[in-house]
Amino acid sequence: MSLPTTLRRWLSLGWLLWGLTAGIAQAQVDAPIPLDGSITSLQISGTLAVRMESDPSIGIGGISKPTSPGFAPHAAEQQFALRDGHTLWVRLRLQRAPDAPADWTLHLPLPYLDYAALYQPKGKGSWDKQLAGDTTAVAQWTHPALYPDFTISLPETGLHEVYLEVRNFKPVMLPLHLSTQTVRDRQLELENLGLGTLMGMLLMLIGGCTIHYLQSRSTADGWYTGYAVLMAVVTTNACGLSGMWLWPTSPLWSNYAHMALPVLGVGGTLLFVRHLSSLDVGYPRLAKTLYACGLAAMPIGLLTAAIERQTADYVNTVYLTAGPILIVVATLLTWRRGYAVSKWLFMAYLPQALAMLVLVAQMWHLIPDWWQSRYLLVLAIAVTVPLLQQALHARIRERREAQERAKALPTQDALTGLLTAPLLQQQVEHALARARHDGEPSAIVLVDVVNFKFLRESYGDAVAEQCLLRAAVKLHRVLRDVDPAGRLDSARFGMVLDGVHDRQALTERMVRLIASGLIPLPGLKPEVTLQFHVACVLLSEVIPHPQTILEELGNVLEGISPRTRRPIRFLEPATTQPASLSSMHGTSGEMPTQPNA
Amino acid sequence: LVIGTLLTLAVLSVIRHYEHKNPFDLKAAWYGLLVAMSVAQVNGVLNAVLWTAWPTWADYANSILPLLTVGTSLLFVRKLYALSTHFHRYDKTLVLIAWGTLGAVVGYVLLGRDVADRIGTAALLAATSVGLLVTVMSWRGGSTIGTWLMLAYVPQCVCLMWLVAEAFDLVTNRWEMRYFMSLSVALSVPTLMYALSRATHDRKEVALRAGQLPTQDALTGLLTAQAFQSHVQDAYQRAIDTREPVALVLVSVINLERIRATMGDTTAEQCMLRAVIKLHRILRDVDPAARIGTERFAMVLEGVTSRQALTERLVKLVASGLVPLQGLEPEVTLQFQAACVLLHDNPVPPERVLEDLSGVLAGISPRTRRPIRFLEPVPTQAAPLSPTLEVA
Repeated sequence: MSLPTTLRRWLSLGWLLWGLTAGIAQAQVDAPIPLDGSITSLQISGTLAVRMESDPSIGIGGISKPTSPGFAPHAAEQQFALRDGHTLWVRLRLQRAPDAPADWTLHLPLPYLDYAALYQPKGKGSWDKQLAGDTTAVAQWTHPALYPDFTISLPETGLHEVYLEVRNFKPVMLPLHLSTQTVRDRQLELENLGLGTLMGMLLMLIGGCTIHYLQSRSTADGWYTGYAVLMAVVTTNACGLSGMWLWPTSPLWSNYAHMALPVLGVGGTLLFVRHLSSLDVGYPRLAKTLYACGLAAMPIGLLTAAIERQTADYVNTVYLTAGPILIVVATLLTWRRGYAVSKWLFMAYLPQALAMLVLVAQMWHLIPDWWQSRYLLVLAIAVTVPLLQQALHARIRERREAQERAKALPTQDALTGLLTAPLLQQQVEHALARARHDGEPSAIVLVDVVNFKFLRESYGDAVAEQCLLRAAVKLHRVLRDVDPAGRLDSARFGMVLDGVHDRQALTERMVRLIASGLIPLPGLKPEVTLQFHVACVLLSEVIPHPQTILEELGNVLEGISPRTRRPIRFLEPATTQPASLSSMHGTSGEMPTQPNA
Repeated sequence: LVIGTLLTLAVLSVIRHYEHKNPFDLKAAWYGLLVAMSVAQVNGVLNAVLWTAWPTWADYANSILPLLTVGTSLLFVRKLYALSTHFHRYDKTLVLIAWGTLGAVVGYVLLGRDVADRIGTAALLAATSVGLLVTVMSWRGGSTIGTWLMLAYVPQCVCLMWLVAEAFDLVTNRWEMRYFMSLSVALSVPTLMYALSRATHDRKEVALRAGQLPTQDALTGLLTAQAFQSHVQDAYQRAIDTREPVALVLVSVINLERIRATMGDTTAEQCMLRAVIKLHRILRDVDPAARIGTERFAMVLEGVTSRQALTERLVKLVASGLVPLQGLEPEVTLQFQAACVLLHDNPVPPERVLEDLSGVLAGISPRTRRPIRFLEPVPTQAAPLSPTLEVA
């Protein structure tokens, strides 16, 4: 066999294969999308018929002419190499079956897309045009929405051709979703519910920060509030909510915001993390880097307006790559150093950083495009909210509580948080007045920790204070939230138990208290127990004088031996003595001591 | 938006329950969830999202969920007010109406829709009125949370009265009222939760402090001496390894014993708490501080490079101590004395650094004019010649 013959055969085979492939591709391009009763929603996949124009577009009139240059096949799941000045045309051939509904929608969940228009024939060679995209004011969109969302009307069965015109300053993947109008309405309801929930959570974060700020008036808390607002704006912008609700008439800003706000968000986060984790204490160089990067967000954000968008996008991408990595490194390092707040920051920002890196990897074409990744970021931000609240709370909890306790000192005891002696005295007087006037049953109880002196002498002040705090906790367990309790002396507590009218019920409660005191306190070696002695008075039995009641109960406590087997004693009513005959003639000036007397 | 806020509140209540183990927080979470569901139901969200396949239930849920919410709300506030304490009869009435409102739901199963609806409306009206009345009583009774509860209930009641007036054709129908009602019900959740948080705050705080006792001091909330020692060791290691600037300071309140002797334990404890607040002012969030003994505090100040910087901070502390403490008669001031060491200049081993600083404090006279002293490094001595000669 001569060489030319072989070559000719190979060439023929090559032509045949090419023809076959081209034929199949063309057949796929021309294959209509079947819409029948069983399909309610689908994402268009496979091969699309597209045409890219780098010159000024010839418009729908030229594109739709039968003589116009043909459309080429392009995989629907791949990016379209768009850039400034390019126009992409997508031809969709929709085959409506008799059982399919007439009203359909086509939506592209890309809030940042520059321009999108859908053309449908409306007879006599004219076209119905629907407009969307962030270079057009949302208020002027045919259907104002979070992202391009068009209606398609297929009044008759059979084949229909619609054209989609798309422009964007950088390559983009087009997730084209076709749905019936009914299904789309339902999707929108769910979407709104999800976004509303997210916004509610962000509002909670802003509200929490504002309350912290109003309480502390600290500049740092003011900045945190500002940061929470910034994050809310960044998130709403990523979802398209800002374009729709905050700046619906400003296409220039809407377009710019999609590039600048994420950068500002990352910059704000860098400064927030640097401050909250006190990075400059252990890692001064890293702190300076974070500070510089955080401040750089402003000029980088402005760069978008000053230079060509493509170049600005590269700079943004680099910034958006470096920012999350720095955040994760900073929180991890400070967590390892032992700062409690950094644990929460790390947990909060790790998902966010990962989502951001996925987005950046898509921008660099390192991984395949996935349009849902933008919503992944939004979800990660939502997860951040409660964790950030916890971080802010943890940062200042101990200090704020000490401050709150110090502020409450006129009414509360410093150690136990119980009422001070004068305030408890007031409560006792109120209880006595209620018992006297309305016959309301109450009990006044005094409790002594009898081994307190021994504990202080043996183990020191710190352990003695621990014991008193634990005693207060045990006391709380036998009290209701509304029952007032106070500290009367170093190791003496007083309580007013409203609604208690018999000894049995009161004794049962006090037995619980005494028993709980006998359980060794955790964390103390050698074992330490609390020995409670209790003196009570039931106001349904006897109503002592308000000024002397605590003293009388104190006397009862003093009379109990340290080794007693009856640590609960009651103030007994004075036994009725026969009146002497002589006093019958005079008038007794004594106050009645019996209820309702 | 409203649903998101309510759900976040419910989640926060669950987190609070996890933290404090107070069953009331769990009830608050359930209450928040129920209100979120009711708001979602009244506005048609649940019908569109959850019960699309159950149209009969969707129809009835519009009437049933508000009844459940209002009934639960009454039981919730009853606990919050602790009505049974002072108003026994009223408490019983409230319980009766609350359970009656919840029980009115059964009417939808047993009776005709019309009759059940009338009973339901009457129950709602009675329950809301009782709720408002009890709030007013609690407010007038001087309850600390009464104002918040009034804020929660008054808008709800006004909206409900309007809706009832609409039903009786006393006022013109306004479709916006449904949204006002939803908003006022939703607003009651954060208000009630705040009221709950205020009512239970003190106890939770004490329980929290007791729970942290192994590592924190009972009175001041600072670290215990044992927990602090590990921070000292870490700081020492960093000062040695990376020459990180770290200062260690021991502060003593030298007149505490006198305060205790003259004014008693509780006043002495007050003074220590106020001393801690003053200490916090010169510390950053991440600087560890501890209580060492009865009247001494120790702290690690990271990033302090020079004696000058440290002295400036401590001067502030000493000066703040001289301001008489609020609310104490006769006037009480706190006399601070401080002993410091810059670990990067003078790396004293962690096992003895606190002891050495205590030595410095012990050497300061109570009447000194220099209350801030530094631990000086041991001066380098010339090595004796004799050992060298011996080796040679």
